[in-house]
Amino acid sequence: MPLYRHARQRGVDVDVMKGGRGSELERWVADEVMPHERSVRRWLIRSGFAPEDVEEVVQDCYCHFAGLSGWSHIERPDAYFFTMARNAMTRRLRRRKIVRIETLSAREVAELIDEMPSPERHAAARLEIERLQAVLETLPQRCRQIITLRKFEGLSQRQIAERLNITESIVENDLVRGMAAIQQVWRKVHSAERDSHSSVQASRS
Amino acid sequence: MTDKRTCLDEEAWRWLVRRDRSDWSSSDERDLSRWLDQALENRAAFLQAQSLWRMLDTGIQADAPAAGVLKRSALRPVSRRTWLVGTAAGLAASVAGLAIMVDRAEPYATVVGEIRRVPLADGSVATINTASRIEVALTTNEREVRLTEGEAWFEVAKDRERPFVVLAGPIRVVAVGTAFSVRRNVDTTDVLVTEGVVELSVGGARTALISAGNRATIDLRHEVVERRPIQDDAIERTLAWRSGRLFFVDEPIGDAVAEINRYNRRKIVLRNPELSRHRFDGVLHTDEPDSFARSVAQSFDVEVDFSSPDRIVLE
Repeated sequence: MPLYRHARQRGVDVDVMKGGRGSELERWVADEVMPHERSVRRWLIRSGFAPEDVEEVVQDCYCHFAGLSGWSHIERPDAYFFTMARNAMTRRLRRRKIVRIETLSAREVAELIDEMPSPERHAAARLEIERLQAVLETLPQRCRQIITLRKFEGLSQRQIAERLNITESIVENDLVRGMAAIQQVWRKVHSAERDSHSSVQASRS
Repeated sequence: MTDKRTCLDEEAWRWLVRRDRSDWSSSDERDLSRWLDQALENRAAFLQAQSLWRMLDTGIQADAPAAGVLKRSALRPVSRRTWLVGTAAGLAASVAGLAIMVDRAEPYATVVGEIRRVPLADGSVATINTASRIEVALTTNEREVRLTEGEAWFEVAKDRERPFVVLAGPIRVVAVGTAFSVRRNVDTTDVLVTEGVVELSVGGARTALISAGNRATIDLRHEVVERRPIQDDAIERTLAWRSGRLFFVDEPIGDAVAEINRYNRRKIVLRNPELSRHRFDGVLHTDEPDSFARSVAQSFDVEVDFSSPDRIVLE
């Protein structure tokens, strides 16, 4: 009978390999970073930047996140996100030789973050998830059904195709289109929107 | 939002969806890696898609614990898919349905160490593990099996007209043609699906589908259902008892001893709690607790006492 002291290290290595595509990073971004994306967008819009610039800045931030090799040192991911956004915007403005950096001073970022009460920060994640689900509800019926079966019932794409009597490629197309649509709507920020950040600012002025 | 942005996002979603195909191969994996390495923008788009997909998920999960465990809490009122565990109505319904045929239910039981393969009249086969008991009632409308104790693996003959139902307390597992096992532990019940899909309901009210390659663990006391994928080789290992073997990978010794003791009257006793936390790999026969004890004693350099006929003591 083969029985030996198990080297715990081996199990750990296997996990790291599986996570090689960045599943840990994905978890961190989903739980700690993405819930603040809309606050960052609102802040930039309110500061008077054009929607295209805001989009580019947010994408610059995600490029930065995607390149991170470690993030355990980041204690306040929301503050980090704001700072990254500020730096990215500053670089953009500098490239265009526009001087308007004072609207995004480091001090302002620090104050904004420090005054955001932690219950509100936690509520941000909850709110964003609820928004996502609300957007899901607006999709066409089949599209919504497919996402629901895949995501919440745990059916494979092939099983969904069998269940709905459609081809697997229709299932895939609906998933891609549906999720891309959710993503687009979710990203949209109206300048009139208020949030915890703006209310903090209002109370200070 | 620009068209370029939309295109890149859709491309990222397409990769994510493609990766979920059953025939996703290592060469596909290489293609994905190549795409990700092409540009940091690709990587960023993929990361956003992955994270958004995950975030949609956390809306249903009470808290997203590590290792991709799907956890549902019955206490969260917001979700439509919240499971109600152990509702009185559900219990009453399943009991009422059973009363009609309780006379005809045929019991099959195993003693400690026994594994029994029972072919049923409909062509299905129930393999019953050690110290377990099932009651089988086949009617024209339904095939109903009550697992009153222990564990059994069911290979269900296809019959669309008559669903195959396994009841384990308030837990109801419905299959048409599939293979799955149900195991009752002290606090939890495990449902492991090896083929097809089963419908799981707790307390009668809500259902979820568990497909092949997944294991659901229902904790009635904490009103929690966990669902997680399980690798093919892990399924084989988990169900190795069908051939009288136990298969351990990275198993704490304490858990392994508890497992072996399920199959034997002569129980292994661990005197040193330190030892129970050590881990090991191994294959052994369910009826050979002595050779297991001897190997542990050798590997970890501890004394073993075989002097008592009803126990083996590891010092």
